[in-house]
Amino acid sequence: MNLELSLEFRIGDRVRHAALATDARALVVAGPSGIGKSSWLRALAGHGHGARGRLVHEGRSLHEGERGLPPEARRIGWVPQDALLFPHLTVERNVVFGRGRGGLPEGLARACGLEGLLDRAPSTLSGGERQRVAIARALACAPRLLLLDEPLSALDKAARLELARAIESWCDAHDATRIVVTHDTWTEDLLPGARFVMSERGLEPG
Amino acid sequence: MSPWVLSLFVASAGALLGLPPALVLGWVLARRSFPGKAVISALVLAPLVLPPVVTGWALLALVGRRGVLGSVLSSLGVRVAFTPLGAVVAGLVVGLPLYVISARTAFSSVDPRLEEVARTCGASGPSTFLRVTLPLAAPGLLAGAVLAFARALGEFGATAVLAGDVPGRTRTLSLAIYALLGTPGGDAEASGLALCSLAMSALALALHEVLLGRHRARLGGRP
Repeated sequence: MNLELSLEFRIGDRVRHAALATDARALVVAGPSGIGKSSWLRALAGHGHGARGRLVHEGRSLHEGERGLPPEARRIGWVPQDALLFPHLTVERNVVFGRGRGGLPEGLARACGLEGLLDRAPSTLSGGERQRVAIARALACAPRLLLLDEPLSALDKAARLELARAIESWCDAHDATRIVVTHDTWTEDLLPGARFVMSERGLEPG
Repeated sequence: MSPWVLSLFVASAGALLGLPPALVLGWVLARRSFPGKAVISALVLAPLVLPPVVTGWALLALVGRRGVLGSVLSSLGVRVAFTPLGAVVAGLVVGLPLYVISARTAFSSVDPRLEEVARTCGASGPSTFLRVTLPLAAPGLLAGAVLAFARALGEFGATAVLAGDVPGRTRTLSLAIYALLGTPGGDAEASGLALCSLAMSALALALHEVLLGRHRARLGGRP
């Protein structure tokens, strides 16, 4: 299996359980807002307390029982819904944050439409521009597993297509796995994958 | 040492020496919950509400020659009470609450999710603190340093009790003004010193506002 998980995680005071096992390298998780999709992604990335269960990706155990690898050792890329750019760093330094001494990866700025924005401060960017930076920052870390939380929601129609292509071709080129969490159908159309629905009962193929 | 020089020395020492405890206490109070947190918070903030004379008395009991800590220090050859070091300790302790409150506010205002993103990008916990948390909190910490400096500059009660009023040795600016007011014909000189002191405090508060503005701008608001 490419991705195997059975994980209990917290949404505020509530505990939810989600399990899946799949060989797919592209996943879509749908479900109503507030059901816990974002909390689930956070738990996969290794944040927050109280996660229990197991998480195995490409044969690597990221979480087992009560203990998991620290977030920095998981090789996960995370694009949070509200971008969460580092406000004290320029766009370029945001993107290369996780690259140690490595600079901007070849072609990434262009693929994500960041040319001309690299010297800007995050506070001067529009919502769509922030989302582009957050996506580029996650890809620049060369993750094996990419977690995308409503990655196209702040973009206009043309930009959605462009960014979806950038994400898709990057994942294909690096043979990486992606999980797209969304509640709108056009995101599913642009970044298709094995479909799961999150509900009170957990994750079910749908 | 002239009162001016001594007061500036005491205030600078308070702002510098207070940084490590303010950093640690501010971060712990902002980010951790544990039993006894309220007690620690109350202890740190106590000098803010205690009469400074009482703070001085408590310090004397602690670091005076027969105090718990003072007896250990004096066996090492360090004297705190009635020395310039005593003035530094008094200034540090009365300034620390303002320092810690500023640091706590600064750390609280940094979105913890930014730290989560940094970790996911591969930064370790300490590296995340140095590259994300600290730079974002820095202007707020500096604002705290300015407040602690200003508070130590004006310190009177605790200094008088712990360091005494030895002209040329522990007589700080405030003590000098007080002494001049009690000296026939000293009014004019006292007014001069008082006005200078007023100007310095105003300057410090203005700097504090500037730093807080920068802190808010850094956290993502438009400057």
